[in-house]
Amino acid sequence: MGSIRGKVAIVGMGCTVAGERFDASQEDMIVEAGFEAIADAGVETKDIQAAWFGCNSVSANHALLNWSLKLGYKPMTKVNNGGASGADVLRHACLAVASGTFDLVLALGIEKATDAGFTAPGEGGRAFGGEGHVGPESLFTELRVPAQYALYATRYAHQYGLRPEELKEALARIAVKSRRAGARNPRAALRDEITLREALESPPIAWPLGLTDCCAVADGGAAAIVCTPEVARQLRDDFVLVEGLGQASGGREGQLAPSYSFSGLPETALAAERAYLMAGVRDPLRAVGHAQLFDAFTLLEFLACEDLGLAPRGQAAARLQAGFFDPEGELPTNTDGGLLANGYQPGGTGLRQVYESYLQLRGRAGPRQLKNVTRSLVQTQGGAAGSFTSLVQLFTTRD
Amino acid sequence: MESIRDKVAIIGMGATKVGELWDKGSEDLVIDAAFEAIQDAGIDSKEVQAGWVGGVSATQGLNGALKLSYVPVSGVENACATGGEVFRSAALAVASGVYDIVIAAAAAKQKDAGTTGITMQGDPSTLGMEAMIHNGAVPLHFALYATRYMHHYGLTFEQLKRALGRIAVKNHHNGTLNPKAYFRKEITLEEAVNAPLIAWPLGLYDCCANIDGGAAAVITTPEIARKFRDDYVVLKGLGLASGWREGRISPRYQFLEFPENVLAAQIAYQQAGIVDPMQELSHVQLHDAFTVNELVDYEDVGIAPRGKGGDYVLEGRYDLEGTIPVNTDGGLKCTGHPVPATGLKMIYECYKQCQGKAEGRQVKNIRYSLAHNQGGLTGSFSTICTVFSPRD
Repeated sequence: MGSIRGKVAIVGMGCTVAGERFDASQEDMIVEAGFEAIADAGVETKDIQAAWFGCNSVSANHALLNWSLKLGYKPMTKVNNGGASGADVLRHACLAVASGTFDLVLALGIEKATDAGFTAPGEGGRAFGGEGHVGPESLFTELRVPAQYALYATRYAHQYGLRPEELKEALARIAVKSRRAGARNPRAALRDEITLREALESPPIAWPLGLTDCCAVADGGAAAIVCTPEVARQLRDDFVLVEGLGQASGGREGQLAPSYSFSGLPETALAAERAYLMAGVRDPLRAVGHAQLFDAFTLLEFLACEDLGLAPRGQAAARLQAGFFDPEGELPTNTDGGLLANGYQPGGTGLRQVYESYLQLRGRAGPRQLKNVTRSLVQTQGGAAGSFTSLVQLFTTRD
Repeated sequence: MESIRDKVAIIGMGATKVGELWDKGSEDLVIDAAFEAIQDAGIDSKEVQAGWVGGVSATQGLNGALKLSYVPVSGVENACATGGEVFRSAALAVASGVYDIVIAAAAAKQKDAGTTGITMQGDPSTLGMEAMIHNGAVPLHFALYATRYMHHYGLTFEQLKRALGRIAVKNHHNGTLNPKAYFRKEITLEEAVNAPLIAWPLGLYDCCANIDGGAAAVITTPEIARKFRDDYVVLKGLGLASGWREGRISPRYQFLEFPENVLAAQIAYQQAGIVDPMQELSHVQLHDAFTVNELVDYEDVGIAPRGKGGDYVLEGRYDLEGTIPVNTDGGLKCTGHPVPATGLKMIYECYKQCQGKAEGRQVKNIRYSLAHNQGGLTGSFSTICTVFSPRD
């Protein structure tokens, strides 16, 4: 196995405003994100040699992408990986460039959930298609998504001896932090700050998770122009390099093995190990300056921090309380407001997370800009309790 | 842009028997196909470093079924060309140098879907001209190409039906020689021509069946392949072209060719270094979802001049004993169309032909073998052409 390091760069990105986009169709959002990325890279549509597309709510193929952007008879592929589709779209584009077959390609993902007539995955049907599942497995496949993550929250509290009030307060602090960041992000879906009290008193959705612990399903997406570093040098001075692409997919271990811990995601830990190995990162805490974590639920930010080695096991809550992950802290996380402020857009989420890293690494994050960020980490996941696909992607400023 | 030639090899493949497999779930089909491929490759499943799947969910469909421990798995789609896309994605990943040994697998369980063909769900946002195309059942789409072909080349209905019928007769004959085929009986030209109409001028024997099935491939670099077997198969060219709705919005669209086919074949030939496909290809698998599809494909991939596909097939050029045998496994006509798996199933036949293991249907002296897998609808297809050679 080899590394992706030094083989791939990002030279342009675009990102839609997230939210209830009743004003925009799927095609409109593809145009919005796609042409922003193309303009940002300073290329023309004819320069794009191939494309990868994420959009879980349409079936069949890439067609919506090419119909919207009119890229001509170029190779196009639709990528599906549950909630991690957007991140995997970027991975496919990177692998294709690294293969030498293409020099400059497009990765684009969007989701238009509000027109689908439901407010959350799984509503009005089984969450993950639960084809013929019976017994313990059906417990997972029939559960709504918040209920699945609530299992991890209660177990996490038990494992590390947190009292319910302590857990609730730690989770609430994440919600407050993300919403504060969202208020500073003009493209976020939720741009109002909330108080700790509001978070603590928000109505329970699946105990111990309350309303502010859960992200909203929102419309939106993002796009990236991916190319070789040689091509990138000709296009702009401040491109971003892809340094590591780690991915791990579960095989229902958590649904089958009595030893499954429910206090971490083995997929994230393994994906991180693979990404760090590619990037040559030995001590992530020192090496990573900014992280975008998949906080579809507040608790997931804790689990991710620990799985990624950014906090010792059981210590994420304490670190958070100490301000470690605040914008002024040692390792700022989710400076764009995370999923909690940007919503969940499975086809686009991973790319939207990378968009913030792209801005931070190039010093273009406006009022959210961090000082001296040279390496940024993005973690995205999809799947269901006990069986996830997790991606960990590392980016650096150009050499 | 570089060629993918000689960067990727297949060391193992598996394909299930296709048919109405009421006793199997989609995961059973993944297991059957993938373990046949793993066994054929002579590797341990622990050696698989990444996977690509079609037709089943990415996270659970492959790892959940095969219990590959936490390897990265992705789902890719390209409509009826999903099988080819699964292969392509895996091949690009190997060529990137990031992974050494990967698996590509796909399965279709269409008979459980409660339909007998691909259902066309009318998109309420599609109006006017587009709605006609978008909401029509699939045979109607291909009937448009058949009628236009007749008109343009001045063929009578009888002449067209004879050419299409001859394709069905050929593929049915090949199907009898393939133990994994679904339809394993000969038909006569008379039967084909007089079969009940489905979408004029296409009749029953002009249309393939949507059925259940799975296929899988173990893919690696030629360097690693050498360690596992002597008769690995090398990828020489890989072309994909995707339409952008030209056929639905441009009055100039011809309905005489699939531009996606022409481009995908061009890219694949260029990478493989093939200058004259008619002379250099030894064996071809074409996406004969409909006989007219195979007819137009002959011309699109350059094994017949424009307008001559019908004459060539009637002369027997594409028969097993002909100059370029086409669809030696019986094609989609006889091995059915398990949609996401079809492309891999076509590559399975190329693989067996390149290895000289196609038994009663073996083509002699294979130099280049082409698989052409086409997905999408009128005016906007995705076509994947893959060219293979036996190891040098």
